[in-house]
Amino acid sequence: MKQSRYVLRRVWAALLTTYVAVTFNFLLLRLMPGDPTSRLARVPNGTEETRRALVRQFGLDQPLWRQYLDYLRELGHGNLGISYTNQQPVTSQLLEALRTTVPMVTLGTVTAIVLGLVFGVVAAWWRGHAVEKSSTFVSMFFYALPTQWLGLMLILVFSVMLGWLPSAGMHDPGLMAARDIGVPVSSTAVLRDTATHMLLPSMTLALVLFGEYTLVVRSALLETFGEDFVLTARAKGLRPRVVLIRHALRNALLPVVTLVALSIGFIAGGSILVETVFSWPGIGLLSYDAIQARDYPMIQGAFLVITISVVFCNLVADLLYARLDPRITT
Amino acid sequence: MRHTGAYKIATGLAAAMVLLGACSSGGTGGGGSSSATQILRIGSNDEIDSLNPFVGLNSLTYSTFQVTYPYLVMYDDKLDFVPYFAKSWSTSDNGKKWTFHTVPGATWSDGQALDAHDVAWSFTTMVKYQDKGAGNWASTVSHLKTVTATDDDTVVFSYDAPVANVLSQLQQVPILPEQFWDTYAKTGNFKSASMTTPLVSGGPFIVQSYKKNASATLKANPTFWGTRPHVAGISLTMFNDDDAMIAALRNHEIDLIETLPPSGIKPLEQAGFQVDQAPSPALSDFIFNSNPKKPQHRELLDPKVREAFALSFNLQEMVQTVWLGTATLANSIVPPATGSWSDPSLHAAPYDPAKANQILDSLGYRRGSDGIRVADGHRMSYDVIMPDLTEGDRMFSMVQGWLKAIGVQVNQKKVDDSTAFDLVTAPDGKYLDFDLAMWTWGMLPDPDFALSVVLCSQYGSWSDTGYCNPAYDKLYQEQGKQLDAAKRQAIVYRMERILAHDLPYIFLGYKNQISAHDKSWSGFQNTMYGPYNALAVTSMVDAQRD
Amino acid sequence: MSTPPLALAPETSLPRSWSLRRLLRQNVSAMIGLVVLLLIVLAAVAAPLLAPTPLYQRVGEGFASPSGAHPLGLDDGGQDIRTLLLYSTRTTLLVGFGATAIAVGIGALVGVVAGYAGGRTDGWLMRLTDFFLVVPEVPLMMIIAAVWGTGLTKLIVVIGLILWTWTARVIRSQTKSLRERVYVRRARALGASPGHVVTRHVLPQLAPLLVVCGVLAFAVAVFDETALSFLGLGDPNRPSLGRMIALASQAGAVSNNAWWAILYPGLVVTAIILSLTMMGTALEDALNPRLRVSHLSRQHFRVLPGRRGLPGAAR
Repeated sequence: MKQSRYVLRRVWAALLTTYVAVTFNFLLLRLMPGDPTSRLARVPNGTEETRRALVRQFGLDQPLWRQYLDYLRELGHGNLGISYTNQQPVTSQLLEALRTTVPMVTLGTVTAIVLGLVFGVVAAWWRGHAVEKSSTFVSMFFYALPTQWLGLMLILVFSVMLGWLPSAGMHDPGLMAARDIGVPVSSTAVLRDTATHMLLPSMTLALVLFGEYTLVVRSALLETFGEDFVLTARAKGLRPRVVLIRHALRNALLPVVTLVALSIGFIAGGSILVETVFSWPGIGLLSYDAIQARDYPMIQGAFLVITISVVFCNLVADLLYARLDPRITT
Repeated sequence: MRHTGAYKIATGLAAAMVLLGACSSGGTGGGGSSSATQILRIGSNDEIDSLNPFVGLNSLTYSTFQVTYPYLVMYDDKLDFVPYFAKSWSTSDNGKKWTFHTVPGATWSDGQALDAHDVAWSFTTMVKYQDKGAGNWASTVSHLKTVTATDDDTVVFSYDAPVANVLSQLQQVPILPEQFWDTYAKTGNFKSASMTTPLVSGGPFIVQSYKKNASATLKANPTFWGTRPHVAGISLTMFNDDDAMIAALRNHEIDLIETLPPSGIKPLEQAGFQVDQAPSPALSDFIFNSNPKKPQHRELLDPKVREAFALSFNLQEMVQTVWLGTATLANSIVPPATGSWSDPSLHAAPYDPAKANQILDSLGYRRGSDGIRVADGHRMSYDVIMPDLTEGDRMFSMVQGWLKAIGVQVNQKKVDDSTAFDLVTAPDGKYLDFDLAMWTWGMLPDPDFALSVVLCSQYGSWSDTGYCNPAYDKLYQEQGKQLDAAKRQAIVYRMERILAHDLPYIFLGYKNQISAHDKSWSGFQNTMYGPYNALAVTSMVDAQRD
Repeated sequence: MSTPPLALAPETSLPRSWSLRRLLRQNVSAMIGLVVLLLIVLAAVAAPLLAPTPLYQRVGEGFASPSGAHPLGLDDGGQDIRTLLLYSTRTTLLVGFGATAIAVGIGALVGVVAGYAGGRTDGWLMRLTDFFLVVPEVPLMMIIAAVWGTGLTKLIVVIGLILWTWTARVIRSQTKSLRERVYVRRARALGASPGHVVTRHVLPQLAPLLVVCGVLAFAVAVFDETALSFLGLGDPNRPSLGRMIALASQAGAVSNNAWWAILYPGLVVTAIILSLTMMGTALEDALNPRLRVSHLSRQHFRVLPGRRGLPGAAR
């Protein structure tokens, strides 16, 4: 009973946050200075009439409340508007970019989680020992690295000095062109090629993330070690290793699951740095370019997609938590 | 209960990952790999912003149009016009009527006939919609009244006044397939066209695929009416980062870099790649607000103050530091790269800070306790509006140092292009607020465009100076009608000298166009816009691997 | 890097009396962090005295490799990397301090008001906090900085305005628990005004927690400075560590194998963030009472080293 009320409240809160995000998003860009039409109007012999036509076309001559209602209505239909720069629908461009981002970010995050779990468990298990100190130090060191700097250093070493890995894009240009013009290319070759290109960006992401995960896993485990059920299990005569794996670790995974759900949303935004360094044509690079070009509908769209995915992951985390821990009712 | 929950999540996550992995791999059929087919792999730090000719703005976009659409004429390596889809042409005596004879028996890549009617349709459409959906082509059809196909292979252009640069205008305009565009031509809503690849092509290549921010593939057009290219296709990769692009060439992932930053010359030459340079019509300038009605900091309107600024600039050092020697100096709004249109007697001001200080002293602008001069009761401290340029920061810090030496303080106000434009033109295209700016321009081979940006009529449009001089505007009209090249040149030189005296700009340098390619490739024409350009299709047709 | 890496849970409770100084003395890692940070701050403050060459002076060829005269090499403009590092660290630390002050200030205000007032005020303030907590930080900062313009003050304000949420949450829950402590209740019962109670009884108790929040926010602020500068949104009129990395990369340091132009500024950033994190983690461990009891460890139920001095009231 209480649980279902909790679920309803979380869903309601998520919807409310989404609405605030949608409105905030609208206002943020409308109220900022800088005329979005100037770029478009700046064409040879561009007349005042051209400019007015553009203003009309994008509804910028309407009162603000009217623009807001139009914006909400279109949003309801999944229409995020037309990009100022290439005049194509924003939604389809965002979806395509998202498809490129997701595999790279997933590979990076999963690697980070695995590393984080290993380092975190080791640190907690060997608490007070030199092993904990070095494991925590390594994690903190990687946490402290600026993302774009690590990316550049990896390019410097693996692409420029050693020449082992490609430094940009997601495909080998020749391979894809050959496929496009009809030369048969095996799918394993394409797969291997994508994997090679994905390696540096996703590893950059993994390295800067895993430190954070390690520290959280360590704290969560250490907290669990203080719980009564661990004491009970120990009192029953179970071996420490068994208690760690069967009882402590599974409970400690709870905050980790939350963290993962949360960071998936965040990473979509945070990957701007990685995607910019490695020219990875995903949503991060799309947002970066859109901001450079003041492509308002595209900025709004990207920002909205990123925010909503965070809200959604947040909700999933809350609901998971409720399911995993029946004590939760607030 | 709890444990199984966590377990389920773990398996769920794993399954999701596998699925995501599957999505990313993108199923492709077929076996075996390519061997004999030659593909030219080009890397660029520019981007194709749109495949729609009514939308695109970037130079890579126009270079791509060049090899996928028919054009009436193109440039040769000496910047003279040579036949392309027009085999030959003639002009009436008064210069108002131009007749072109087109290549007979040509087809579009979809099999439809490509002839003089397509030319007439394309230009008529651009004339009709020049104030609306076809605004970006308006400058290329100025004074054009009608275009009619008198038969399948002849088309006649009628102008309402003699136009000096007809061929230069027509060279820029792609001939479009009516079968694709006629539905949009009913409303003029060209910009919303969905450019689904492969596109209908009338040039040596077909745009086969395009991915925003990433890549495009061009395939040789098997039905092309002209000389067919040696290569089977071109792959274009758009890089966000110059270092990544250079690394790609070094690792043999690409064959050609169409525009290389100067910092790439040394490492690529050392690694055994061919690096080519040519003077380009790109110029960087330091801008004074030249609107005589400007209310604040009016000392900056004084040509003497401007001269002092120019004398304090150690431009040779900037060429060495910022462009590593790959730029030239001059003092003309028409870049020397365009050949005979740039007055060779206009040299950049010499570096003479002592004289600059002397000038400012003689104007009575004394230095305050902080070393900054005071002019008419205020410190000579100004904001410099700067769009985000790659070398911008380095350029600015040099300018800042030079001006400090003559007691003038400047601060960089770095913004994006459109905001920079807003700040320069503020308020409402009146040019009253800003003092100084820095910008980079890319000019065309014909001087008309370069000369036009300082016209009074360009307020709120191309003008970035607020300069307005009726005498200059009159000369501009004259050169536009002058069909005799020598006489036109004399007028153009006079205009350039007016600007060199009034100094709305200090020209900081004219950059070289630099490209680099793998030595196993040959056939590239070293033009002012590099081998992949909007001047001609020659390089892409001739390119081949030995 | 959206939040500090720690599980400094809202339920963190303060031991009744503890001392920052004692903690630092007992925790080697925190001590090392503090010393390194102090050295960096000192070097930055004394930049004009320590710098071997004047700022912006060209002393050799662009990207000249490290040599006897210039052991860290030169950047693309032929400037000594040592000089640039010193002046850049100044700016980066300034941004860090400024943004942290704003973030902790707003966070403390929102947290205390929400925690002390409770009820509807609490609800709305926390909803606001939650919203800012979910908004992706880097894109938001990018949009604001890009549209609003670049400059030192703007950079500080933008980062500060985004970083406060986490502090607010921690302070709120702490205030809630302080509010119910006996002596605070007594003061309230005696008719003390909320302002009086907060300034006299709540804020002093929160001080150590604010230090922790500040230390961790500082680390994030430094990271954000480098990120925004890399995306071209830093203050263009002064050198900063983020801009050094960005400019070297734009000028082709990677292609020219001029690793020194990128490596050193990155290392300084890492040293700053790392030393702050080392201090923060140690403080967090000390403040989280749930870490003080352990029934499981590789070493059997050992009393934890370095914790004896801390009066550890369990929950």
